[in-house]
Amino acid sequence: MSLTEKDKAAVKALWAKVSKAVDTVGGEALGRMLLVYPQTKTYFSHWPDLNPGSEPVMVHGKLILGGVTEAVSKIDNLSGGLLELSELHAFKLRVDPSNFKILAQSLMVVIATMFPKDFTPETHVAFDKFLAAVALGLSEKYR
Amino acid sequence: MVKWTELERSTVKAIWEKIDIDEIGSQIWARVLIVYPWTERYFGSFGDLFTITAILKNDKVAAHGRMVLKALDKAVNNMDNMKRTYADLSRLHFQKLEVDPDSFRLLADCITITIACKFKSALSPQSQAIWQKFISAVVDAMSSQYR
Repeated sequence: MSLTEKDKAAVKALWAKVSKAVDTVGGEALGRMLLVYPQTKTYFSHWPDLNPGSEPVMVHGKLILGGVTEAVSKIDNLSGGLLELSELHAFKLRVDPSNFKILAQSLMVVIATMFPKDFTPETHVAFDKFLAAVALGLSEKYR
Repeated sequence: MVKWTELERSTVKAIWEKIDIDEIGSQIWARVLIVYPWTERYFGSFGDLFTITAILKNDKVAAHGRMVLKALDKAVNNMDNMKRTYADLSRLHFQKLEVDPDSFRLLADCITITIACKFKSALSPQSQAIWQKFISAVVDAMSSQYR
């Protein structure tokens, strides 16, 4: 399911808007993920507070959003362009790759609540494909 | 059997009451077919599904979406009995319609996103968590007769 030129354009157009809310979108997505899919909390037991809006959640969410922004800039080469991030997730964090899909859904729900007119079905399919490709890129170094 | 707190019951009902089946049903079904186009395999009789525009204008898509949402009403009103409530529908989807049960999860995700577009920040993280528990229980119930 590789990204067409149309998909890439749709992702870039959406991200131009979403990245303006860099201080909140990532944190919101992470906060929702931890609450809606509690099994994901197993990766963050070292944080004092896992509730939506808490400091560690918002700080880490901004970091994650930065990672997605980097992926958008490397949209023409996601399998090769995310190797460092892939090594981090594979060897240090050891996040089960099934969780990338869960975070993707959480991010899309936040985007839907904040940019409902922009998150049309057409944009949704392009962005879903993009996040799936990012997940594949992040999984590259796993085995 | 899934256990529900009073808060969970009232949250699910509050979300459901605000959903206009006629408006949202057609949007949800169009979204599923557009975002997960392989689901079109079940709708050969629906006519033109070849472009996004065609899907968005297709009356059969809209009607089917409304029908599915009406069936979701049964879950809202039978939260303590979902497996029994959906046993026949589950069997129908398995034996006669031959629908891959993974499709139920895809539909659930699209329903959540459509609701998120409609409710915006009113779909708080807490509400979303409760909704996800509810819709996952529906997906489980619909998958329960696949054996």
